[in-house]
Amino acid sequence: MTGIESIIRSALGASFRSFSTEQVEKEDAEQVCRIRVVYDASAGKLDVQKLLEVTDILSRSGELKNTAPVVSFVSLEDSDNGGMIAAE
Amino acid sequence: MPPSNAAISSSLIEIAKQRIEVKAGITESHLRRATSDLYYAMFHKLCETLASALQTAEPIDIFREAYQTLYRYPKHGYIAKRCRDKKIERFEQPMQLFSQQFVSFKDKRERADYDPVSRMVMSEVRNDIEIVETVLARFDSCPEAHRFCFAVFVACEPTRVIV
Repeated sequence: MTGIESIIRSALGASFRSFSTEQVEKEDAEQVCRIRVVYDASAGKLDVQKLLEVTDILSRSGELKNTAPVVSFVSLEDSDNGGMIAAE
Repeated sequence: MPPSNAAISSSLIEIAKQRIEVKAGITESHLRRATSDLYYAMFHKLCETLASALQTAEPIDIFREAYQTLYRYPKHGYIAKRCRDKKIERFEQPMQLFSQQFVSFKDKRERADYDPVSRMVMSEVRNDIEIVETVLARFDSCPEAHRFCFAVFVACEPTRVIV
Protein backbone atom coordinates (compact mmCIF):
# COMPACT_ATOMS: atom_id res chain seq x y z
CA MET A 1 0.00 0.00 0.00
CA THR A 2 1.45 3.40 -0.97
CA GLY A 3 1.69 6.32 1.42
CA ILE A 4 -0.97 8.17 -0.55
CA GLU A 5 -3.35 5.24 -0.40
CA SER A 6 -2.75 4.81 3.30
CA ILE A 7 -3.64 8.47 3.95
CA ILE A 8 -6.81 8.30 1.85
CA ARG A 9 -7.89 4.94 3.26
CA SER A 10 -7.34 6.16 6.80
CA ALA A 11 -9.61 9.17 6.21
CA LEU A 12 -12.37 7.47 4.21
CA GLY A 13 -12.41 4.08 5.92
CA ALA A 14 -14.83 1.54 4.45
CA SER A 15 -16.02 3.99 1.78
CA PHE A 16 -12.66 3.97 -0.01
CA ARG A 17 -12.50 1.99 -3.24
CA SER A 18 -9.64 3.18 -5.46
CA PHE A 19 -7.60 6.16 -6.57
CA SER A 20 -5.55 7.39 -9.52
CA THR A 21 -2.93 10.11 -9.77
CA GLU A 22 -1.78 12.48 -12.49
CA GLN A 23 1.23 14.77 -12.17
CA VAL A 24 0.77 18.11 -13.92
CA GLU A 25 3.22 20.93 -14.43
CA LYS A 26 1.43 24.28 -14.50
CA GLU A 27 2.31 27.30 -16.65
CA ASP A 28 4.00 28.90 -13.66
CA ALA A 29 6.26 25.82 -13.33
CA GLU A 30 4.46 24.79 -10.15
CA GLN A 31 3.65 21.09 -9.86
CA VAL A 32 0.31 19.68 -8.84
CA CYS A 33 -0.73 16.08 -8.33
CA ARG A 34 -4.34 15.46 -9.30
CA ILE A 35 -5.70 12.63 -7.20
CA ARG A 36 -9.05 11.12 -8.12
CA VAL A 37 -10.49 9.15 -5.24
CA VAL A 38 -13.35 6.74 -5.88
CA TYR A 39 -15.60 5.95 -2.93
CA ASP A 40 -18.68 3.86 -2.36
CA ALA A 41 -21.53 6.17 -1.44
CA SER A 42 -23.59 3.22 -0.22
CA ALA A 43 -21.21 2.97 2.76
CA GLY A 44 -22.55 6.32 3.98
CA LYS A 45 -22.16 10.02 3.30
CA LEU A 46 -18.60 11.30 3.32
CA ASP A 47 -17.71 13.58 6.22
CA VAL A 48 -16.40 16.90 4.86
CA GLN A 49 -13.87 17.01 7.71
CA LYS A 50 -12.36 13.79 6.36
CA LEU A 51 -12.23 15.23 2.85
CA LEU A 52 -10.34 18.27 4.12
CA GLU A 53 -8.04 16.00 6.11
CA VAL A 54 -6.89 14.15 3.01
CA THR A 55 -5.57 17.31 1.35
CA ASP A 56 -4.21 18.63 4.64
CA ILE A 57 -2.25 15.48 5.47
CA LEU A 58 -1.00 15.04 1.90
CA SER A 59 0.18 18.68 1.91
CA ARG A 60 2.18 18.18 5.11
CA SER A 61 3.35 14.60 4.81
CA GLY A 62 6.14 15.11 2.27
CA GLU A 63 4.62 12.19 0.35
CA LEU A 64 4.23 14.44 -2.69
CA LYS A 65 7.40 16.46 -2.04
CA ASN A 66 6.91 19.95 -3.49
CA THR A 67 3.81 18.98 -5.38
CA ALA A 68 0.44 20.36 -4.27
CA PRO A 69 -2.37 17.80 -4.00
CA VAL A 70 -5.58 18.45 -5.92
CA VAL A 71 -8.02 15.84 -4.65
CA SER A 72 -11.36 14.99 -6.23
CA PHE A 73 -13.83 12.64 -4.58
CA VAL A 74 -15.95 10.70 -7.08
CA SER A 75 -18.61 8.18 -6.19
CA LEU A 76 -18.34 4.64 -7.52
CA GLU A 77 -21.59 5.20 -9.37
CA ASP A 78 -20.18 8.23 -11.22
CA SER A 79 -16.84 6.66 -11.98
CA ASP A 80 -16.19 4.63 -15.08
CA ASN A 81 -13.10 3.21 -13.33
CA GLY A 82 -10.94 3.88 -16.39
CA GLY A 83 -7.28 3.93 -15.39
CA MET A 84 -8.01 3.55 -11.72
CA ILE A 85 -5.47 2.01 -9.39
CA ALA A 86 -7.26 -0.75 -7.54
CA ALA A 87 -7.25 -0.62 -3.79
CA GLU A 88 -5.08 -3.31 -2.24
CA MET B 1 -19.78 50.75 1.42
CA PRO B 2 -19.74 49.19 -0.99
CA PRO B 3 -21.60 46.88 -0.19
CA SER B 4 -23.48 45.86 -3.01
CA ASN B 5 -20.70 43.41 -3.67
CA ALA B 6 -19.71 42.65 -0.11
CA ALA B 7 -20.97 39.11 -0.37
CA ILE B 8 -19.98 37.99 -3.84
CA SER B 9 -18.18 35.02 -2.27
CA SER B 10 -21.28 33.62 -0.59
CA SER B 11 -23.58 34.34 -3.52
CA LEU B 12 -21.23 32.41 -5.82
CA ILE B 13 -21.56 29.34 -3.60
CA GLU B 14 -25.34 29.62 -3.78
CA ILE B 15 -25.14 29.88 -7.56
CA ALA B 16 -22.92 26.78 -7.69
CA LYS B 17 -25.58 24.89 -5.70
CA GLN B 18 -28.36 26.10 -7.99
CA ARG B 19 -26.48 24.93 -11.07
CA ILE B 20 -26.50 21.32 -9.88
CA GLU B 21 -29.96 21.16 -8.39
CA VAL B 22 -31.51 17.92 -9.49
CA LYS B 23 -33.62 18.63 -12.52
CA ALA B 24 -33.93 17.54 -16.10
CA GLY B 25 -31.42 18.91 -18.57
CA ILE B 26 -28.39 19.25 -16.34
CA THR B 27 -25.23 19.02 -18.44
CA GLU B 28 -21.52 18.76 -17.82
CA SER B 29 -21.31 22.48 -18.56
CA HIS B 30 -23.35 23.09 -15.42
CA LEU B 31 -20.77 21.11 -13.44
CA ARG B 32 -17.92 23.05 -15.05
CA ARG B 33 -19.55 26.39 -14.25
CA ALA B 34 -20.24 25.31 -10.67
CA THR B 35 -16.58 24.38 -10.22
CA SER B 36 -15.54 27.75 -11.59
CA ASP B 37 -17.99 29.47 -9.21
CA LEU B 38 -16.37 27.70 -6.26
CA TYR B 39 -12.89 28.92 -7.14
CA TYR B 40 -14.16 32.48 -7.58
CA ALA B 41 -16.00 32.28 -4.27
CA MET B 42 -12.62 31.70 -2.62
CA PHE B 43 -10.93 34.41 -4.68
CA HIS B 44 -13.63 36.97 -3.87
CA LYS B 45 -13.46 36.05 -0.18
CA LEU B 46 -9.83 37.19 -0.23
CA CYS B 47 -10.71 40.38 -2.12
CA GLU B 48 -13.51 41.14 0.36
CA THR B 49 -11.21 40.51 3.31
CA LEU B 50 -8.44 42.70 1.92
CA ALA B 51 -10.78 45.57 1.10
CA SER B 52 -12.66 45.28 4.39
CA ALA B 53 -10.23 47.77 5.91
CA LEU B 54 -11.87 50.44 3.76
CA GLN B 55 -15.44 49.60 4.55
CA THR B 56 -17.16 52.77 5.60
CA ALA B 57 -20.48 54.46 5.45
CA GLU B 58 -18.90 57.55 3.91
CA PRO B 59 -20.76 58.31 0.71
CA ILE B 60 -17.68 59.82 -0.86
CA ASP B 61 -16.57 58.86 -4.36
CA ILE B 62 -12.91 58.69 -3.49
CA PHE B 63 -13.66 56.08 -0.81
CA ARG B 64 -15.44 54.01 -3.41
CA GLU B 65 -12.50 54.31 -5.77
CA ALA B 66 -10.04 53.32 -3.05
CA TYR B 67 -12.22 50.32 -2.14
CA GLN B 68 -12.38 49.22 -5.77
CA THR B 69 -8.62 49.59 -6.14
CA LEU B 70 -7.87 47.48 -3.10
CA TYR B 71 -10.56 44.92 -3.96
CA ARG B 72 -9.08 44.38 -7.40
CA TYR B 73 -5.48 44.26 -6.24
CA PRO B 74 -5.11 40.46 -5.66
CA LYS B 75 -3.65 38.46 -8.55
CA HIS B 76 -4.61 34.82 -9.01
CA GLY B 77 -1.15 33.41 -9.69
CA TYR B 78 0.55 35.32 -6.91
CA ILE B 79 -2.02 34.21 -4.32
CA ALA B 80 -1.54 30.58 -5.31
CA LYS B 81 2.23 30.96 -5.01
CA ARG B 82 1.95 32.50 -1.53
CA CYS B 83 -0.55 29.84 -0.46
CA ARG B 84 2.23 27.29 -1.04
CA ASP B 85 4.74 29.25 1.06
CA LYS B 86 5.91 27.45 4.21
CA LYS B 87 5.14 30.59 6.22
CA ILE B 88 1.44 29.76 5.85
CA GLU B 89 1.98 27.33 8.73
CA ARG B 90 2.29 30.35 11.03
CA PHE B 91 -1.40 31.08 10.47
CA GLU B 92 -4.27 29.33 12.22
CA GLN B 93 -5.58 26.03 10.89
CA PRO B 94 -8.60 27.51 9.03
CA MET B 95 -6.24 29.71 7.01
CA GLN B 96 -3.95 26.80 6.27
CA LEU B 97 -6.96 24.86 4.99
CA PHE B 98 -7.99 27.88 2.91
CA SER B 99 -4.50 27.99 1.37
CA GLN B 100 -4.48 24.29 0.50
CA GLN B 101 -7.92 24.44 -1.06
CA PHE B 102 -7.21 27.69 -2.93
CA VAL B 103 -4.32 26.01 -4.75
CA SER B 104 -6.52 22.99 -5.37
CA PHE B 105 -9.51 24.92 -6.70
CA LYS B 106 -7.35 27.11 -8.91
CA ASP B 107 -6.33 23.93 -10.71
CA LYS B 108 -9.89 22.59 -10.75
CA ARG B 109 -11.14 25.88 -12.17
CA GLU B 110 -8.56 25.78 -14.96
CA ARG B 111 -9.58 22.21 -15.77
CA ALA B 112 -13.26 23.14 -15.72
CA ASP B 113 -12.87 26.23 -17.89
CA TYR B 114 -10.16 25.20 -20.35
CA ASP B 115 -9.77 21.42 -20.61
CA PRO B 116 -12.29 20.02 -23.11
CA VAL B 117 -11.34 16.40 -22.46
CA SER B 118 -11.55 16.60 -18.70
CA ARG B 119 -14.62 14.86 -17.35
CA MET B 120 -16.54 16.25 -14.40
CA VAL B 121 -19.15 14.34 -12.45
CA MET B 122 -21.94 15.26 -10.08
CA SER B 123 -20.56 13.61 -6.93
CA GLU B 124 -17.23 15.43 -7.35
CA VAL B 125 -18.94 18.82 -7.61
CA ARG B 126 -21.29 18.10 -4.70
CA ASN B 127 -18.31 17.25 -2.51
CA ASP B 128 -16.45 20.32 -3.75
CA ILE B 129 -19.35 22.59 -2.80
CA GLU B 130 -19.32 21.17 0.71
CA ILE B 131 -15.54 21.61 0.94
CA VAL B 132 -15.54 25.26 -0.13
CA GLU B 133 -18.56 26.12 2.02
CA THR B 134 -16.84 24.60 5.06
CA VAL B 135 -13.48 26.24 4.35
CA LEU B 136 -15.04 29.69 3.98
CA ALA B 137 -17.17 29.27 7.13
CA ARG B 138 -14.09 28.32 9.14
CA PHE B 139 -12.14 31.20 7.65
CA ASP B 140 -14.92 33.58 8.70
CA SER B 141 -14.74 32.21 12.24
CA CYS B 142 -11.19 33.57 12.66
CA PRO B 143 -10.67 37.01 14.21
CA GLU B 144 -11.02 39.87 11.73
CA ALA B 145 -7.45 41.07 12.24
CA HIS B 146 -6.10 37.56 11.56
CA ARG B 147 -8.13 37.28 8.37
CA PHE B 148 -6.88 40.66 7.21
CA CYS B 149 -3.29 39.71 8.00
CA PHE B 150 -3.70 36.51 5.98
CA ALA B 151 -5.21 38.39 3.03
CA VAL B 152 -2.31 40.84 3.04
CA PHE B 153 0.20 37.98 3.24
CA VAL B 154 -1.17 36.07 0.26
CA ALA B 155 -2.24 39.00 -1.92
CA CYS B 156 0.36 41.72 -1.43
CA GLU B 157 3.81 41.34 -2.92
CA PRO B 158 6.59 42.69 -0.68
CA THR B 159 8.66 45.43 -2.31
CA ARG B 160 11.78 44.45 -0.39
CA VAL B 161 13.03 41.46 1.49
CA ILE B 162 12.55 41.68 5.24
CA VAL B 163 15.06 39.54 7.10
